[in-house]
Amino acid sequence: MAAGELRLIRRRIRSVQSTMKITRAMELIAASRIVKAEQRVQASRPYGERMAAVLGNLAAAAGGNVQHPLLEAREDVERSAVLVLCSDRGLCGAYNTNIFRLALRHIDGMDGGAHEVLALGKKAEGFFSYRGYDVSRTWEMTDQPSYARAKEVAQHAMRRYLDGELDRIDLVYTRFHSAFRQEVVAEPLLPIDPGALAEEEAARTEGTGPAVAPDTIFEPEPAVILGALVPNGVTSRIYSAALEASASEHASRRRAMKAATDNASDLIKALQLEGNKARQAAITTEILEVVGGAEALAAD
Amino acid sequence: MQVEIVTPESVLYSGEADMVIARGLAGEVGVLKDHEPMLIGLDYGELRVYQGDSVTDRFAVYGGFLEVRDNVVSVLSDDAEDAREIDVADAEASLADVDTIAADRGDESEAERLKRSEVRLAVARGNAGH
Repeated sequence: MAAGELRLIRRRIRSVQSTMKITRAMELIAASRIVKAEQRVQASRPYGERMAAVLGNLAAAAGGNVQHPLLEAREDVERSAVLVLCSDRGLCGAYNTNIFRLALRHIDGMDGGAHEVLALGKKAEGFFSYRGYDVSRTWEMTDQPSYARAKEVAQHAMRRYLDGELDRIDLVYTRFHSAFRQEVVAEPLLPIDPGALAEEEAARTEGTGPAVAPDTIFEPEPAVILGALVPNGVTSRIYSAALEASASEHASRRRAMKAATDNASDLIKALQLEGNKARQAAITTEILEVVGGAEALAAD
Repeated sequence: MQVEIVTPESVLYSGEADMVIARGLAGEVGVLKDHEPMLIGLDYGELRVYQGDSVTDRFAVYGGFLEVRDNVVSVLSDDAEDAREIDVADAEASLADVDTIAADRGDESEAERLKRSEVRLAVARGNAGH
């Protein structure tokens, strides 16, 4: 009986140990990826900032004359979408849950009768289709989101907007502040608000005179340049959001896997204690049997 | 003047220079100190950075924008690379791989690949020609 219990406990210890090896490995992988992902976030910032600055400049220079379909807010928003940036796989703690919760709240607050979900990250599909939302398109997030992928997503979003199938698209993702602090945010993606861009640019330059000199040379003409710049601006927004989301995902996964590893190690300690007791009990029983047997022989 | 060449993935160049020559959509464009403010679209082509009279850095730039403002030249491109990092053999191989027949027939993505590969090889070989 006691020996059987001991065997069971040893089997459980081995199983927990092998789980711990996996969670430990995942923790280390995630930790090493955070560093790389953070570097990629940093490396992408100059481009994103400059792109926003140039767009803001151009918008400010043209004043109210900026004409581009992606810059014009529609009066009647009938169909809106959220682009949700989440992970492809689970085992990353509350990372996806937090995103989905904000996305749900955000969708319910949006105008228009019909809503749909565009997902960059495979986990969103199950969650939203189960709740009756239309997940019209899913892209894989991958461990290192590429610019090409961002472009694909941006082109899809812009085409749907320009075709009039969607009147508004917002972005929900996790902003990466540091390895210890991430924050889920919802931001408008399309249409782009030229006023906000111009204001941002003014805030950046701290209002040091007009952002664009009146005699700026444009080649080709401003409208054509704007037509080429705007899609780049949208792609750049999605790309930086994807990089931040990816860094946040790795940070979440590292935290979750660290917690799992710590749990496993506590569990192993408790099981070992129990195992030692069972072994001791088995030995005591055996000694008692031997002593009892010896005494019975001596009595003869 | 300050020159910055920025792609979404990295900052390829950031520093002082005396002149920059790039391929704009309407032809070659040279930018010297105290150039007027300018915002132009870039074609696929070579971009050269000069210190004095000599070229110090060359880049293959596949489209994008060039902005000049307050003696700061910013080049924003989705796709650009340092000439030193292009391997000639690799560039030749990717050019050979392009389906030129499809490009001739008007397949846009093939035509773009062809243009990109040609520029890439030209820059790798160190001649500015097209």
